[in-house]
Amino acid sequence: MTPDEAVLVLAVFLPFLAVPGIVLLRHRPNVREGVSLAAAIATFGLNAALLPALLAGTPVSANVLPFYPGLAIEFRADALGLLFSTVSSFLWILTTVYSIGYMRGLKEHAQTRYYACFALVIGSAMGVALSSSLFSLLIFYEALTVSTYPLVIHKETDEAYRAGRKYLTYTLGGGGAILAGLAIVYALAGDVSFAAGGNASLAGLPPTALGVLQVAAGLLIAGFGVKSTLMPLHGWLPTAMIAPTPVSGLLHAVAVVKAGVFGIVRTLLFLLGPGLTVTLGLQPGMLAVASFTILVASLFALLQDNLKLLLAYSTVSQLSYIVLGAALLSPNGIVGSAAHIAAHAFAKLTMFFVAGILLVETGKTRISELRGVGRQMPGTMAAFAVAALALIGIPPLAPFVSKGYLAAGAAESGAVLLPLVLAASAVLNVAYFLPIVVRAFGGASPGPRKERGTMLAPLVATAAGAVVLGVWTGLPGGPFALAGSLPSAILPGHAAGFDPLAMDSLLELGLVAAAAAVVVAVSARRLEMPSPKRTAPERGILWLGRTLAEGFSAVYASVVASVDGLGRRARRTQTGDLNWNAIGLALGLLLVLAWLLGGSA
Amino acid sequence: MAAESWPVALPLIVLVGGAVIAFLAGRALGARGGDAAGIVAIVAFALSFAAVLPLGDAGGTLAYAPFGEAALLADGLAVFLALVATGLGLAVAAYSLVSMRGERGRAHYTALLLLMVAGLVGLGFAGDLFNLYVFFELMAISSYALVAFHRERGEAIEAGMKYIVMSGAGSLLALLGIGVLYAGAGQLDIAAIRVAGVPSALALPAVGLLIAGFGVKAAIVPMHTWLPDAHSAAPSGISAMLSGVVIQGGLLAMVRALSVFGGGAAPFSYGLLLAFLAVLTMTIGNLLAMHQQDLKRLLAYSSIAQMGYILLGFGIGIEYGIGIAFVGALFHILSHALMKGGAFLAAGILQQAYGTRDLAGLRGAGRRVPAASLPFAVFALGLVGVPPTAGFLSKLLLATGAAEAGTTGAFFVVALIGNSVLSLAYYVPVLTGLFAREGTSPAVHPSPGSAVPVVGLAALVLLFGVWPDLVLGFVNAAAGSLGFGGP
Repeated sequence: MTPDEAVLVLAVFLPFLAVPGIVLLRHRPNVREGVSLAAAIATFGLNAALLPALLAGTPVSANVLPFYPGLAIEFRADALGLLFSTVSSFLWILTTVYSIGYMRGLKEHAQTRYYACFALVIGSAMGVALSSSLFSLLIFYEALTVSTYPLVIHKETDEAYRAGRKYLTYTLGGGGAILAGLAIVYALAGDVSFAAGGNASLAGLPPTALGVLQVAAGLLIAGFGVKSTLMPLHGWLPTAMIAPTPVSGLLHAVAVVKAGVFGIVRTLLFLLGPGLTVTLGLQPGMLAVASFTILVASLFALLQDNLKLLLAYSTVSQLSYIVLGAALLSPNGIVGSAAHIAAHAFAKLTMFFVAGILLVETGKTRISELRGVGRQMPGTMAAFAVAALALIGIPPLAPFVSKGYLAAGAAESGAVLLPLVLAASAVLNVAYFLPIVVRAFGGASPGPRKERGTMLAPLVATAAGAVVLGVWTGLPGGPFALAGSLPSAILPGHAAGFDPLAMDSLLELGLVAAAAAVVVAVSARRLEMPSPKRTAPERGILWLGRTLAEGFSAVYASVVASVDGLGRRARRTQTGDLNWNAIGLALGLLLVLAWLLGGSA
Repeated sequence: MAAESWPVALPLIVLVGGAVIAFLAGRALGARGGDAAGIVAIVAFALSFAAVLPLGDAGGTLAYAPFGEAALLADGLAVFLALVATGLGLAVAAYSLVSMRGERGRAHYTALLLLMVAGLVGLGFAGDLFNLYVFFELMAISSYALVAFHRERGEAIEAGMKYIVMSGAGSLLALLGIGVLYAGAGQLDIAAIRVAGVPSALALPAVGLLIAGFGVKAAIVPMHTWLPDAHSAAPSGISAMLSGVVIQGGLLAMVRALSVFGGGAAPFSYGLLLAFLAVLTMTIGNLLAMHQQDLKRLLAYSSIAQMGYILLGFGIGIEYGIGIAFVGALFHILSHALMKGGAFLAAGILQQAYGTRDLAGLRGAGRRVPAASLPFAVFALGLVGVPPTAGFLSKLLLATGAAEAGTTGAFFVVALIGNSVLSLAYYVPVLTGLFAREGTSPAVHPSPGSAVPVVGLAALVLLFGVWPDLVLGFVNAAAGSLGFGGP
């Protein structure tokens, strides 16, 4: 194994290796947290060390463990992979520092389990990011599910266990669908490795295999769609908000959900390839699902009074931006999609960090309680304001750039509805984020100023990251540079160009957002946030949102009930009566003979 | 041509001899007899395992015919089944040695266990239908007594009785099917019948009788109804053997008998019938397991579903000649033996600790008896199909085998994975319930010795999941020797 390969393998497995250290040091908390932090910094360092080879045009690759011909654990540090892995490992450093303040501030139990599982999650995310085949990715994808479970049920209340069950059922179910899709692709092509622009063996399949390949593609998209929170598979995410806030931040900004959309991007652009995606007729459906999710999730966010739930639905919406961009299959769409993985991560993690500080310092979880808290905790709410403006799409913050690419891609796609979807979503973002900021800085401070450093510093760092990445898009090896290199590899003959001054659609988007911001700010006093004691009938957009939410719950409940009912009815056949059993045997014999007779006739 | 070689009979001789010695030692040594019998069993299993290993190297050409025509043939499938049976038997014997301390009748138990495995090994080695049936019955009859072992409990007697009636009826049907084959072919040697062929007027009823008859033992729906009672009422070690190898032995007996039609000599197709029965079996099995509150019953129902997965692999392999389907089915036999066998042993430890099999009573048991519940978590995740367990790999191979069958194959893949997802409905609550925070300390602290085989099995599940090359040689040889045209 060459030194480069060793770095690559270590970049994935170092977090796993840190786990025994964390567990053994459980009685020495400071050393234990030091190990976590050291592992985080080292992992980021290793990932960054893989960038020069990539930028020189020879990405490092390593085949670690062959299972079966064509199925192995194998890695390649390509542009998309390193984008995800560097962002995740960098944010792990900040989340670890933040966790110290959060967990000690709340005097949480089971801290060793928390830090150990954190390390497992990051290691699994590294594996997902750097895997060069669908099989390898699936192994780490499932490891991600198993290692996040103890974090979701951390509080160990009944509600937490219910959330954990729902989480496991959804995510393991998604994993099963991916397994099915993987098996079909493997049976058809014998090779499931990723290649920019699509796997050559798949592209070379005869037209007769396309029907089966469609089924496989559907299974893969649905399977990855669970963690990507594509509607209607998103139900696990709001329920999983029961987890401690750094975990929600990790789940929502960094590891789990990004692994889901990462899987979709890999499937569409690196396994099937743009050509096959179009041939299989996947594009319209994916654009429709993504658009639906973007809008409806934003609508749901508007209904929420609980801050974490609002952030959860906002995440559901933002993740579909990434799916939309990939499904556009155009250079701008691809760049926007990949870059938004990073841009959203920094902004959303900031917001979750804010939610956590609010809980630790003031015990508040509801938006309706936040009046004046900005004067009590100015640093915190200023960072929140920056993050909110970022996700709305205000220049020069990072999401402005990624959304700009997405808007450009939508505009040039020729589908009239897509730019409208993006514009509508931008307005909705304003509608649910800005009032929080206005409310926080309006009104007198409810208490003395308190913001502890270990939690404030990472928060400021992530917000600063959103600014820095947006301003310095040319950062070598940074997310925008890596994203920018993708189109030429995936769509040979094309190149993405982004000129901030020439983008008409960009300016339009910015103007719309700015105008909406002014309108909201002026009428902020009159815009009532939904509160639990709301008695007036909801009208218009809020009514629509609530009806849709109830519709989703009803569908989910009826699916669960009918499977349940089948189970109960099946149990009645198990009578325990020997005579019935004998009849079963006779029936079996008759069934078999009848089939055989019918078949030979 | 098969070469005459007495080492082929060695594993059987060791097992039967071990049964005799264990029984005599157990009866003669009074109070310490039970332990002595247990140690004899462990030694016998280990020796027969070691005796089977070199037989695989000769590429299926070793045979032994002690009584003239009735031959034992050491082909890939025989070696594979013998290794799985003696290996799991070793784990169960080690577990029973510790967990059954103080129970009466251990000499009988140990002797019957050895005879049951002898039946399984002989079933695999059988080169003709007569031997196949004799050893099948040896296995079955030993298991009847073992199911009803706790004869002071009404539950066990009732389960045993239902089991005898159903299994006996099934054996009768199978014997009838063998008789029809004999009438049609004039001989009993499997390889010879494959060459000579059977007139289709007789072949059809023979196939039907064989599938229905052996299908009882293999717990194929709708002949499965005896299984939940038998597997939950038996002692935990026997439940592990029943779910782990005995029902698979029944399935392999069926496959062996049907292999007389292998190589394209079948005048009609029955592979699709098997695949359809498999989908029925896995779906019903999973649905039945869904509301179970008794841990061992839940595992028993789940065995029905898992047999469905295995049968699907065989059905598709037979129908379409897809080698990887056979590899998947056989690998799943191995991984399921480890996972379900281990799960039953772990459930047995929990039952002894808390005095109940009820899930509500076992809530929170996970944290207080980690030696049993951490391996149980590994087994459960393996049964669901989560990497890096052997269960994930076997499910992937099964799905790949199904996928190679074209458009119909896609339906089977979806059925397989749909059932996998359905099984989450009962595995997830069991796991989350076991590791819940509330709960009481166990009434009886389980002795550390009983956890050793459980932890060992869990380690193997993970080892084979990460390094399948260790066993793929045996699995591939078994698939190739089935007689349907292997990989």
